[in-house]
Amino acid sequence: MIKISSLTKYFGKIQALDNLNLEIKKGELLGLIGPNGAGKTTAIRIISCILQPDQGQVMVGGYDVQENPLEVKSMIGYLPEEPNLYERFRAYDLLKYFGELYGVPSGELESRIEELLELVGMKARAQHRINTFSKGLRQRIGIARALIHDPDIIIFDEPTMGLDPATSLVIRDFIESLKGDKTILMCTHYMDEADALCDRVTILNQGQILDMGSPQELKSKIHGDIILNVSLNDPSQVNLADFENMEMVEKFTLKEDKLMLSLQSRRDISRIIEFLGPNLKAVQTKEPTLEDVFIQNVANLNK
Amino acid sequence: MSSWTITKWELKNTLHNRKFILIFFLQLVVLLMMVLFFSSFMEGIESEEGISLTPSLNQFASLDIYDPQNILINQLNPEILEINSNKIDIALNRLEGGDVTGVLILPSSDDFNLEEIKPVPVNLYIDYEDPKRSVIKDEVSTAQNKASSLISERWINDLTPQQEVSQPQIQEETQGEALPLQLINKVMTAVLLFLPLFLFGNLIVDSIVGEKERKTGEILIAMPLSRSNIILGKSMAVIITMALQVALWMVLMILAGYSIENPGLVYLIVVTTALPIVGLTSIIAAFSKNYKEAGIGITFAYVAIIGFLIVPALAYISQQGRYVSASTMTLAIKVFSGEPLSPGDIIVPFTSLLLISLISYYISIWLFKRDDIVFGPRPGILRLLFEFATLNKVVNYFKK
Amino acid sequence: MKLLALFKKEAKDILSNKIYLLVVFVQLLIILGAYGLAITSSVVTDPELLDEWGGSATIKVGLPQNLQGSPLEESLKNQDLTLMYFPDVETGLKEVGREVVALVYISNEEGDIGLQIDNTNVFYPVARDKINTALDYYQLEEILSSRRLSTEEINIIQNPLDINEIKINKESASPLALDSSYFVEIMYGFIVPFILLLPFFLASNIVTDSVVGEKERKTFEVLLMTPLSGPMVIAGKILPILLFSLIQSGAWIMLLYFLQVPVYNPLLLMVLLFFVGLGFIGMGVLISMLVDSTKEANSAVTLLLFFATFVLFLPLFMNIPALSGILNTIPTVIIVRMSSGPYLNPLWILEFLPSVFVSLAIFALSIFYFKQEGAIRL
Repeated sequence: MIKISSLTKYFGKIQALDNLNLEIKKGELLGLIGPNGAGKTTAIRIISCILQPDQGQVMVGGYDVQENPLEVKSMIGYLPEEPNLYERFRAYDLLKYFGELYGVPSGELESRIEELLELVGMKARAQHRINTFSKGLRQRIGIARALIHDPDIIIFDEPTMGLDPATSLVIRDFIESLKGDKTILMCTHYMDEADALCDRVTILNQGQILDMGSPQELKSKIHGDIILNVSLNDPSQVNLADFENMEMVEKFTLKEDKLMLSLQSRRDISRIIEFLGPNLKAVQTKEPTLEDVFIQNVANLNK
Repeated sequence: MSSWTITKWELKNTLHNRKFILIFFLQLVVLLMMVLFFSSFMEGIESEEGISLTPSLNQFASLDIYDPQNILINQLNPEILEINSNKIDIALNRLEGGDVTGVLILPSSDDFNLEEIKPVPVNLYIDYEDPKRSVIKDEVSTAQNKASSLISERWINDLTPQQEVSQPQIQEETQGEALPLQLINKVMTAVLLFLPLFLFGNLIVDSIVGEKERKTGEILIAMPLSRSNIILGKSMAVIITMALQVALWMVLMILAGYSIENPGLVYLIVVTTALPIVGLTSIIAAFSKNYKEAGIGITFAYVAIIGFLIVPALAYISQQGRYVSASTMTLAIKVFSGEPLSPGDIIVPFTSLLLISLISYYISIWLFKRDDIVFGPRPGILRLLFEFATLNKVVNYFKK
Repeated sequence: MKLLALFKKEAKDILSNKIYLLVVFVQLLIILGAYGLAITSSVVTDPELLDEWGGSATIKVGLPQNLQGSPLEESLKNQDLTLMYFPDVETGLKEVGREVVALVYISNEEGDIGLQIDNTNVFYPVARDKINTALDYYQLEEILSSRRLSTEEINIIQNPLDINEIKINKESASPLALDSSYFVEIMYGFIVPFILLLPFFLASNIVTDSVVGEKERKTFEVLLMTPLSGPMVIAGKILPILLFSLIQSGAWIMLLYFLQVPVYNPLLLMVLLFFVGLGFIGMGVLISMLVDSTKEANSAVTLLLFFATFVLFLPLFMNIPALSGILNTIPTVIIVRMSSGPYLNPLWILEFLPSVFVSLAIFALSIFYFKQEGAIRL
């Protein structure tokens, strides 16, 4: 659905994107993660025809963003980090205004607005002005606005940033419900969000892709299948060289009485317990998270 | 001391802002253009006979003339009229077609002999559909006066060629500088001198309202500074900027040939006037929620301040200085024209200046100290006035 | 349809903005003020109008006591001047600039006349005019009375040109508030072009407000994501502003008509104003693209308007024959020529071309910059 090939973008001397290649399939939810200034927003802006690429090509739904920007824009619904709504508008009027701007036929527009207001749970506040809304309510209206023209592609830029956990959950559930039907590109700083929602995740840093794959793939790349956190009775008894020789242990660290072991498989847990014997005070298992992947990737690069 | 730290940093910020520097020098360019414009304008109106402030409309109205004996044609003003000599029928046709607004027809030598003492018959056709008819009438009548005196003189000489003509001579003496000239010379010089004080309102708005809009004010207030120090420090920075611009401005004006006597004293007067202006601006800035509000407030306030400065100056000029100067602008005019000053000239404007400054800084500090003003929700103006007059305390007292 | 939605929203924004409406009202005050000022100054400087309005009596001229009953006094009285008598010349001279505008006296034994006149008086031009006319009559009469001439002959010599005014198109005469050349010159030569251009000064402010405001609030990004092309977004933004300004200019033309200063060729003027407006608004868009905040935009617009004032209004007060070819194509000069008479020279329309060209160039430049990523904050 979206195909980015060797995309490069400069702002003056700063290179925001460096030979980026990326393909997003129809119906896929791709997460874009990366530190601040990695080039995520620039990539989104080029895909949605606000910025022009310096080099490379971006095809959206078979259209080139440089040659057919209007067709591309009609296909995309975009929710910026802050919903950026016209403060003085009533919720209903705002949706109507953007519906008209996107060329939604006037016969369909009203029912579409009703439907969306229902969907984001804002029906009761349709006639309220935007400037009376809290951040969460604005985000809901922002989502309705982004969906007003029933786009095939939806781009979310930090959809839950700064929202309370309950509202975040509502928004995540909503994005989940769109999955499969729409092609979705989502930027986020919340790794658990990316982990839970995305089919695939791309890690971007300094305009380049560091890694890409399903959350599971990425996690198992840097760690084994599972992490074991062990508390020891007497750390001095442990000989670290033993772990080096164990094939099942991918990584290990020892800090004071805390031993961290990264294992290839869950089946190896019992063997470790057996090995440590009475020195073992407590043991805890932990699944690797995307956050570990992110920190590992970005931290290694920035060293 | 902490005020000075703020002043120093505000100034540093301002002077490091490339856009500000650009605007600063563009203002000087604008001033230069104004100076050039006014001096050429002055030359224009002083060189002509009378002094008028009408636009110099080159050939504003058009007149066709048939004047074979050159009686009137040379007396018409070609600067205002587009004059064409044409035959009678052509001229009248052109009038019919709207090409000209008037046609003036004088007799040829066959029809009329100028040697005879007989009124010269002149026909003036004027198209009344055209509003420029008034201009034609006026210009023709001016030319008529000039031509008449020439003809009268000629006839009188013809009647008594040899006789010594004893004619009473008229000696005209004018006193005082003409009103329009004074307006332009003195008031314009004064306006130009005081102009920089009104160009930097955005600086104080930016440094107070800007902090509110960008929410950086919170950090500033969290620091161990009293709020009065913040206001005073920021105001001082703006006053210094203004003083700098006034100095450059004055140098430029003196180089351009404006006669400014006692420049040091004039400079002092102008810069002191900045105090209350910045004070009033900081009231507006302290009260405003955003740039837009501040912009409107400042526009109205500046119109009022300019009125306060300029009206006494105009009154002073039209009264030929019989009264003491009520505003510092009047005082500046007196000083730069080198007129003698009475004690009242100095006491009256400076007392009002001092009073306004004290009150305005007091109010702006009072406003800036209130949390509801800085962080919102902002109370209404009426309530603030009520509280400022400490009437709420009276009410509370009675409630108890 | 899409464009219409944007257009409607922008128009609503303008009309719901109290400040813009306030400015429209202020313009009305400016117009009425300028009109009033033009009328007063016309009356004050024009002897005939001053007579007509009964203002001449306020001009006081001093005479020494001994001239009471003289022919000199008679000719001054004929000019409707109020005379005041002083015991001697010295006392009289002291009062010039205070009680009286001028003092007329006999300065020596040959009968020469002295005239001391105060330049600073508001009525100076009229007073000087009237006194000089009176003195000219007195001089001529002094000469002629020494010869034996009939009154009729004296009359002919005094008024040698007998101008017979023939009024053409009197029934459809232009209804002027004041039949004074000063009034006509100042109204058509300065105030009409000034009034007609006022709304466009406001327009460049509105356009930067609207564009920079959206830039600051980051709503522009959202607008640009909609399937509208750059030129369409600009058109949707500026057309309402252009229309708003043109409607104001049109309203001021009507107002002037009711004030009896008819503005001629209004439709063609509107065409010219359309292009001038496009230029102003194009500059506004350009500024909006180059600046980051409302604050900067305001400073830039103020400077722009300053320069525009010079370029547009300076030519009205300049008289440089060498440059007349260029000056004639300045919009204000064209407005003066077209608005001040019922007839139209088709060649004038050719003189529109430079303005049209410049405006379109500015506009094209603004669209170019609009595409150059100036529209959003990065």
